[in-house]
Amino acid sequence: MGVALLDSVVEELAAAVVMTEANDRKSVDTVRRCLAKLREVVRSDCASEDLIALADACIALETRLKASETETDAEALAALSDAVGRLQSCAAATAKSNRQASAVSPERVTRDEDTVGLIGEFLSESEEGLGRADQILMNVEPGGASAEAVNGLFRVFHTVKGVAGFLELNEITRLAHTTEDMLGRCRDGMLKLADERLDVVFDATAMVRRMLAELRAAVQDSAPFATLENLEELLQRLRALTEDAPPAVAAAPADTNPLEPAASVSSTSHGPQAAGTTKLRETVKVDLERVDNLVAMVGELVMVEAMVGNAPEIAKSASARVRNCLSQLAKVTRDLQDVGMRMRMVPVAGVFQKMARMSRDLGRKSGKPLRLVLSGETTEMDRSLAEQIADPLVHMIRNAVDHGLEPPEDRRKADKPEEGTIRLSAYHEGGSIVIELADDGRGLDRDAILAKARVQGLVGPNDTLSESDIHMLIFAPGFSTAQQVTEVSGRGVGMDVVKRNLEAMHGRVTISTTPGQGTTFKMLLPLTLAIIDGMMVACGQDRYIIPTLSVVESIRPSKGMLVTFAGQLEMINVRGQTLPLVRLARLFNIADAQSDPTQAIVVIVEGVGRRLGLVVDEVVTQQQVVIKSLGQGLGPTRFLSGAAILADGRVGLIINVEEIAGATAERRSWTATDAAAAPAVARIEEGRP
Amino acid sequence: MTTIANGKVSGIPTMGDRAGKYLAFRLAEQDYGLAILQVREIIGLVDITRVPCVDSFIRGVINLRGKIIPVIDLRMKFGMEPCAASEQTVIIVVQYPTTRGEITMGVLVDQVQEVLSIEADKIEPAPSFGAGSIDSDFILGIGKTDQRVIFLLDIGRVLSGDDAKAGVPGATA
Repeated sequence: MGVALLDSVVEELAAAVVMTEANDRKSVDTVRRCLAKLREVVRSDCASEDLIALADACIALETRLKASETETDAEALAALSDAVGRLQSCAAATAKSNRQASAVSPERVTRDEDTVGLIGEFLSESEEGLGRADQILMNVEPGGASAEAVNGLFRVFHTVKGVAGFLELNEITRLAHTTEDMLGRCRDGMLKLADERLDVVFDATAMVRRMLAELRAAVQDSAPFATLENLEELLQRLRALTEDAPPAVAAAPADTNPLEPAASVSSTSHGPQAAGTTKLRETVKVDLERVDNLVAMVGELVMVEAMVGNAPEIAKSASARVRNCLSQLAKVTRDLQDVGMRMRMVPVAGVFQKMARMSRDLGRKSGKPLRLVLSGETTEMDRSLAEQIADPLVHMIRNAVDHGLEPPEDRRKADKPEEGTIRLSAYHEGGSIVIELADDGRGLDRDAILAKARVQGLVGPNDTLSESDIHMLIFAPGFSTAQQVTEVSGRGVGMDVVKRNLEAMHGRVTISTTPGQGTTFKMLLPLTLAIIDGMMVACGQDRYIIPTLSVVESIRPSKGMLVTFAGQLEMINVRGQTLPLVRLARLFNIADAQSDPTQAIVVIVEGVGRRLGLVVDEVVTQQQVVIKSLGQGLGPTRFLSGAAILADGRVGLIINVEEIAGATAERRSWTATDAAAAPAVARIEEGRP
Repeated sequence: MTTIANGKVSGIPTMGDRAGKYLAFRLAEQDYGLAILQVREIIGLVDITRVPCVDSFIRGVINLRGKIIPVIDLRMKFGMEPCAASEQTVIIVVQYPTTRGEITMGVLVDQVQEVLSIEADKIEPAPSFGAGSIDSDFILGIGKTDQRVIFLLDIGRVLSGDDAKAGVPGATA
């Protein structure tokens, strides 16, 4: 029991830390409150020593937060978020071991196979239902609940209640029942589903979800199903809000309620109908591994098909009929590949819904009323991409709310509606998927950003930067960690994280902004993580693939473009920009590569916001490749991000540009400065520890 | 010392368990054996793509019907001269479970011989070579048939030491 409480406190703390910003006293105070709570819980708890030590470390940081200086706050917060991360994993481990301990004790619950199967079905059905409930709740908000929406919610809880009752999951049954009771009254027109009641339905949905997660864990460990701490409180809130109603004629318990047409979906049926919003699709659940295997096999088939088709023997001797069949075969294989790829695709709706939920909370907490407008939710993207995009989106929405949108009074002065609008949309463009986040806030303040970047030394005093270069500065690491540019401008918390994540996904981000009218972030992502456009380069006997997304240009340098500092640090001067030069042959220890750069090709690549020149012998070709893992057993392969099978069946290695750029940055951290200044900068930077 | 080698790790099978079929192969005039259950297939020498910045005994990666697997040179792993390609050079594809899932790997050897059935009373525990010499941990035992002596290898142990050292899965793609 205590562990569950501890868990929830730690979770709350983690959430608070994430939401906090150094110069925002209010949120800092929230963190301090959470820390106080943590202290109480840890003292009174059976927690392990590790946990107490970690919690103490967190609490110690609290004293630093008291000093209301922004600088120390920022530092303390960073330390705190680190400590909280460890605390979370430690608490999770404790919870797990506790559960296991209880599983060994006589309390161990045995469930027969049938029950486990039923619970499994119940879990997936209910989770689906909750997803639908979320969707309905999101749509309800602007207009007030329609009868249809209430009905939909009612049905979700009704189904959960029915099956949970059947499986004798009493807590879930009680919660679902109480919620259903209230919704029933709303449906009958006795109550209005708005404001506080809407909130409580939100909370009930979240609670059911947590209980389901608990249940899942309990079943997996054959442990008894524990009650969650805040359940009673929520039940009371629900009851209070139900009682608010004008005295009802008969508050008949829902168990004895005759099933009205609206609730006619019986608890045993598979997947109750959605609340009239989307049409149901027939789906089959398949093990992800099988899908991946299938996709891999199809990939091989494509390869073999190409080998057969291109075999010189066939080309020489084939009759028209054979050639015809071969081209048929080629077409079918391509189609099959297409179908296979699509199997891994999921609509972005799931991620968008999470964002909708979060922005709602954010808007409330920041005191800025806002509306999140979603579009293109049905756009599909690779499953793993959809999972990875969530994290950067959270940061970006938070930024849009915190720094993009003005407070209501400012908006009124600017003749804008008080309610801010954030548009989140997804669509296809060329061969990419675009996720666009647009706010109608104040826009980026270019002068303030530039001034700040100069102070931080990101930009030299005499540099001239293009508009888009200036905007990209907000993604520079470290740009945002200190206090903001000014109170009224500059975005940046966690924006470097956004850029890093996107680069890991082989994607990129662009910004467009109009002062006073808003900012639009456009994220371009590949259709799938599995395929990239690659540029194949040769170096000695080896062939390597550079992801085309990271390639800026490739040039054959003339003697005048090459600069060497102290005989060892090679640089290349490209149109006034001095970039470090990395010889692939040296990095990868390749024998008999071209040693004279003027006879070689310099591929200018960009990674983690830094450009550099990669010296290779020649550029062989451009082609799409299927990324494969290098597999285990190789040990660390720092500068490689994977491998691909080339048309001739050999393996080509994919260069990890980000890592190489990162390594260059470690050694000599100059940024774009003019040619004359570069060596001096290099010397200074290298002198630093 | 032999008792320690025997009872060192509980997961190690006893001598009796070690009886069974082994794939015998040759490495620099000496015979070795791999438990047949760990061997997935034997393929001829193919083009190996060199991987930069990894241990020298890793010859590179190959494409095994669409799957990319590393190939190690067992000679170099054991501190001998690198394997020179000949007509008889082959890659034995082995598969063994680890804590991080199954690993498939190619092992470059001079020559494969035959599959031998070795009985428990023909297997002796490996002697200890003392500290400082090659780790003999991965020798399951020494099998004796007719006039030959075969080192029976636990391939998982031969390779896992490096895995543990590396501590990371090979790729992040």
